[in-house]
Amino acid sequence: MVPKVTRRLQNKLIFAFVVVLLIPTGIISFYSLRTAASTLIQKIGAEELRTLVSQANDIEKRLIDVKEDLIFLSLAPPTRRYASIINGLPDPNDVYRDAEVALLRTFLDRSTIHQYLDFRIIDLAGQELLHVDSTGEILSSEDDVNVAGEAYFNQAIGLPSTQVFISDYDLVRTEGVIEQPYVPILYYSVPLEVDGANVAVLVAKVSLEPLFWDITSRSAAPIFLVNRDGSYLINPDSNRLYGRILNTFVTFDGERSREDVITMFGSDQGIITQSSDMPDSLQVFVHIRPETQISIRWLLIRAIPISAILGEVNATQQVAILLSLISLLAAILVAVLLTRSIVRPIRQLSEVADSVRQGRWDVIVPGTGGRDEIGHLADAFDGMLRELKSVYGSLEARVASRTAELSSANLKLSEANRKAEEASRAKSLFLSNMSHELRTPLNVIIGYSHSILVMPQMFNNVPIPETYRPYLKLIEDNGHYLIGLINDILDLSKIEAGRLELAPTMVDLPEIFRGVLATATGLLKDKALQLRPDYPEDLPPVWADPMRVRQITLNLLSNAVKFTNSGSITLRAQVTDEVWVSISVIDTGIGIPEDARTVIFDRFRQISSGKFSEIEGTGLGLDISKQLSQLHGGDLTVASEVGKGSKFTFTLPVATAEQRESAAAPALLNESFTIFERSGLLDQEVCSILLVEDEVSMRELLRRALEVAGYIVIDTHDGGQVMELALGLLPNLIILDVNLPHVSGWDVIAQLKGDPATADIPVIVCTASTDRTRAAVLGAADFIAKPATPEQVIDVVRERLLRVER
Amino acid sequence: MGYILLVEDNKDNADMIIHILTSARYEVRHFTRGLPAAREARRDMPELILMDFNLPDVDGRTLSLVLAQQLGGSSAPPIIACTARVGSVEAKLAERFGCSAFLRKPFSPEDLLTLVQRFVAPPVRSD
Repeated sequence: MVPKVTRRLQNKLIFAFVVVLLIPTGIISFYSLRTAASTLIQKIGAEELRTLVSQANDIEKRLIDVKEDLIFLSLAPPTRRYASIINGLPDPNDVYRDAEVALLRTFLDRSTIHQYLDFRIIDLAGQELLHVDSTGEILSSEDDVNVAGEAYFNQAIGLPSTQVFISDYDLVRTEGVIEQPYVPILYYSVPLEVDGANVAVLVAKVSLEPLFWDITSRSAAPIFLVNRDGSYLINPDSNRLYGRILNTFVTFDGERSREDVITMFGSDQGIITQSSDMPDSLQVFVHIRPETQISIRWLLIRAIPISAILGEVNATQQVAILLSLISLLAAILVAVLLTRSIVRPIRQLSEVADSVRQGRWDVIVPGTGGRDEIGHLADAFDGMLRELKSVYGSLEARVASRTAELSSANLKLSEANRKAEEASRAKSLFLSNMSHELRTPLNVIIGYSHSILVMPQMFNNVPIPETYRPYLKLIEDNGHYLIGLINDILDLSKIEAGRLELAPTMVDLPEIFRGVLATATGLLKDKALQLRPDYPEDLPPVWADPMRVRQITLNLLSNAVKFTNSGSITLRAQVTDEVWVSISVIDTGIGIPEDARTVIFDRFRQISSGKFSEIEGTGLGLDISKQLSQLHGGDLTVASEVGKGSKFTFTLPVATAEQRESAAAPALLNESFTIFERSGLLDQEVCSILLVEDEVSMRELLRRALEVAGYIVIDTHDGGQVMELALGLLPNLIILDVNLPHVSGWDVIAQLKGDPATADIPVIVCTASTDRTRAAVLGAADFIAKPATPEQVIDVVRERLLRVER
Repeated sequence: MGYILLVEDNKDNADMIIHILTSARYEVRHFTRGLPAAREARRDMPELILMDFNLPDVDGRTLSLVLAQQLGGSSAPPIIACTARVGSVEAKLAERFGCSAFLRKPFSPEDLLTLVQRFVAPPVRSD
């Protein structure tokens, strides 16, 4: 499975690009914007300050204009003449007074610029002498109005001529009560001198409203005018005005922080400030002091909202952001293109690697021949791929050759195996044949030596010289010994080949034991040993191969005789666990040391120390006996004590009820012969068939099939033998393949039919040739065309035999 | 008086068996090959057949069965298989192929006589 290629590398690269680009852009933008803002603030602040200063100058100028008006008025001839009247000069028909009123009226008319609300002339006692209001009406003097306590009077009365007193601000009042709406005013007062002495004071009440209107209207930004006592004269919030006079205690120093108060009141020059009191605004302030010695000292403050200032900066900022975005897009584009130029070849390479991994070698590596690093990578990859391809190719070739070697080795092995099996079979066959071949001459040796010894009637009763007797006996004994050896070797080869078969039947143990004990007695010779049978006569029959039971028992007994010089040997048998009979041979012999007990069952082993070596034997007996016991389902075990004796025990299964029923009558047994009860098998007529077929496999096949069908089959491949076999066996039927080597099948038929002994035997011709007529003419009973199945052949055979019977 | 048909290819063994049997006054006709022996048996029925299974011209087991059939089935003369192949299976097969007894080589003269006497009474000494 190819892992899904997510474009992680590309994404990483693009991200890195963007980050790398954004950071400086951001820093630069931020820094430049900061710088721009502060520069702008400073610039705007400076501009504002300049404006404010000029405004302040205007205000001062206008305040001083009024002062100059009053100086002019005080020096104007009508006023001087009116002052003289006060000083006692007669004024017939109030001519001078009227002149003076006329003069004052001209100033009242000019109130569009300086709004003079009224003029008053007040004598030294504080009594109003003349009062002209804004309408130009001459107001009648009121005796009860005395202004001697007012600052504008008592401050001005002491002043030298042409010196003007300007009062603190006040509000218009009517008979001492402040009028509403509030109208801020200033009193200007100047002394009137006659002959070097002040005789009266000219007081002008000036409305500040036009001035204040002018100030506020000229500024879009909030503007504040603060009196020296802290009262607001101008404030966007009209409720905060005139704190001192209205006793609202709303004052600048009450509202603003100490820093602001100190900064603004404490410095002479105008200052630009950004205070914590109005963090959103840039404040510019200047002092207004038209006359240093008098009471006006104002603070003019403009608060310009930072947002307004930064509006421009914001615009710049937007442009900057826009530019940043554009450059960001450009950066991403560049990054995408760049990373694609890096990542795409890498991805293609990885795809190629995947293909190769899946075994597709015929891929072309893209991007080779490039001059950059990727190109080199592709080249290197291509080279590696070629190398891999060649290595892989040689590897495959090597695997193929190794596989071939392996299979040939396997072939050899199986051949060797087959040969080994063949050899094993050959060995078994050889041993079997050899034992047979050895037995046949031994039969003569033993037979004659024994006959000479014990059967003089065979030799016309001529006695043998006694000198020969023991030697003849030696020949006979050694003959028997040889037979024992041959039997053992044959058994062992069968055991090794796994071909030792038992012929189990119901076995009457006491009967076997009688024979065995008789033989064992013969083995005792001159040894002073007692053979003791110790078993009940009514032992249940066991299911065993009687020959083998005899063999085991005899082997154990003869061993016991060998290794016991005095005392007794007991043959004991008893039922154990109800289903087993255990048979023990107990001796009082030399015993077997513990470490040797396991070895005694080993093939070809005999305990090789001391006395044992004197004792002859193949050493196969115990091994074979153990194997035979195990083949019967039991086992052979040993218990022994050195110097006291040994006990060998083997077990055999008690015959089950089923086995007892199935078994024929126990075979009569002798060491040399077995007599059978002739079974009823012979009562049924079994037909014999002579099968003549030269092809081995066909012959085997037909023979087996016919035997299974219940016929006795004698087969041959040799046409030359047919006549002899037919004459000797007189079979019920002959199956003949006419295509025989050396001899013509047709001739064989003719021969058979020509001899009266065999002429009646029906012949079934079985051939690939189609010469049915010839077969019929020659007297063949049937004709089977090859190829034919065994079933077809059997059918024809059965049919023919039935007809012959009738 | 009938005779014993001996089929045995080993001449020394055959001689010894003949020697033993004739010393017990049995009449023995000996064949080294099975097929002529069979013809003889059919021609002149013997009292007992003593046959080696290992014959040069024909399988002794098959021959014994064929003969047992041809000589009267269950009433045929007893056949004693006499062989050097002594396994239990061999004995079983002999029983299956119609033999009455199985004689293992080597056997002692007494064993042979004991066995033969079980089937054919020893002839009375005429001299």
